[in-house]
Amino acid sequence: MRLFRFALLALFLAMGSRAADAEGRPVETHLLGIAVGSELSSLARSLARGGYELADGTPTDFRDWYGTDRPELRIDMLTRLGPGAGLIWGLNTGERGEKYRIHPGLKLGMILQHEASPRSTLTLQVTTVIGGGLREENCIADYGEIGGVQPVNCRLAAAPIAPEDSLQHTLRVRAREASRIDLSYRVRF
Amino acid sequence: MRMSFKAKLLATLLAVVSGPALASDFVLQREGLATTSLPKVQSWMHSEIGDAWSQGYLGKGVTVTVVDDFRSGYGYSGNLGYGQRILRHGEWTRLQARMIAPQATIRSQDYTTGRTVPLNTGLNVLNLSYGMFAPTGYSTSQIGWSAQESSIISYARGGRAVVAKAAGNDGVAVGAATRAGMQDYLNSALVGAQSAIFVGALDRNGSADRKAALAWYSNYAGTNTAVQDKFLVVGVEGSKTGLYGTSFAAPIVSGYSAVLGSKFRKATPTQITNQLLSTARTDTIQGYNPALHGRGEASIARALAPQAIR
Repeated sequence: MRLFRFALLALFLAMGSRAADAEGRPVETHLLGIAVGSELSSLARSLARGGYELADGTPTDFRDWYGTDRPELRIDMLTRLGPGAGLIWGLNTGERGEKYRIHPGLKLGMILQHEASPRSTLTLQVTTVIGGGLREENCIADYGEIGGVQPVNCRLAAAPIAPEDSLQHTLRVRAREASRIDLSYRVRF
Repeated sequence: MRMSFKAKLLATLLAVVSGPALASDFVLQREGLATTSLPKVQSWMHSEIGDAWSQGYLGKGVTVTVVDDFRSGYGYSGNLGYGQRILRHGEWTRLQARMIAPQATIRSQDYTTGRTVPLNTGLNVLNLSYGMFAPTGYSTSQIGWSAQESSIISYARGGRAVVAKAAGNDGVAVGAATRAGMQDYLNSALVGAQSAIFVGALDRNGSADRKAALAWYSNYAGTNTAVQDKFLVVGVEGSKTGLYGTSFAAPIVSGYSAVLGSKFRKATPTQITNQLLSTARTDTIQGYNPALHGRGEASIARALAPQAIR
């Protein structure tokens, strides 16, 4: 939540500086893209497939644990800082289901462009994502006389794996492309 | 006066065959499973065990001791998925248990040795696909048991090992006399034992939409509630394997016990036994009746699952 507030603050500051920089020159901010979902969001959807029966035959459906009505929303922006330089920034709203959470994330980066010749451009882009990881929550299972009440990976509670070992399979996934450097050289002909 | 029946007890294997083939007529082949091949769900197995296999841990840390025929010259022709072969009765039941719980430690003891069955550290499961027959009319206390059966009965009564006992193939209630006036006193001695399970045979693996019936040959639970409470059935798909009889039902429950024991490593034999009994399904059996089917069809999937989760 703190990260999300920080992201909103960054957005607010950036939007507020859109009109002009300190020397009065106009600062342009462009929308690079808006996307619903992400790779982590897709991962959560994949966890939602399947289910099992409890000891008395009551069905459990993973969709109840790994489904969501509000998939993650990502916004990427570019603020031009000067000729050949720009600030890449964006945020993702995060996502949550009963047994997982994708944390909100803030994307920050720079893009530098150099025209090596009238027909060629060298571009360096560096971005990093702060936050935005997926964290799966464990369940509490009651195995009755044979196993008692204990924490267990929700997906593996009915598998032959020992409940305590199943916890090793609980997902903690960092945001994809948490840090990325792209260098490209483009020639127009 | 205590009577000794040791010499008169007839140890009988609980397979149904048209006539066991003499091993001398065939070349006995070794089981051939233990080497390199990965476990594979076979058509005779319940689909639930395939789901369990996908997660591994099948029987690790559990010892299954198969007390059976490993010495005689009699072989049975069958196919558990590795090609048609002729094996001794015990080699078949041992192979079955190993296929259900491939990571379990499998031990063998020939049933004619009469020696105390040793227990290993960790959970122990004993598979008994034979009966001890004598004329009916005696109490189990009148039987002069060998050290082997005495140890087995003691383990079952004391909850020291899960004992999976083939119910028998005479089409009578467990503990009752056969039409020939014989009685399986090993069955009788295990009635009421805390970690014993009698295993009867269904004609196939049941499901809610394709229910199974008790196999024509299988002994059933009967009216004694002490037997009903400890009686399970599983599918014996002899049409696929060529192997019929409750002999081939017990190893499935032995294997399930091992799978369960590898998940719940601190569980006692009695807890493993009770878990299999309490999670048995009745909705997969045509005309379910506790006097026939006891607690119902063993379900490894339900035995592994929690009662509740949040």
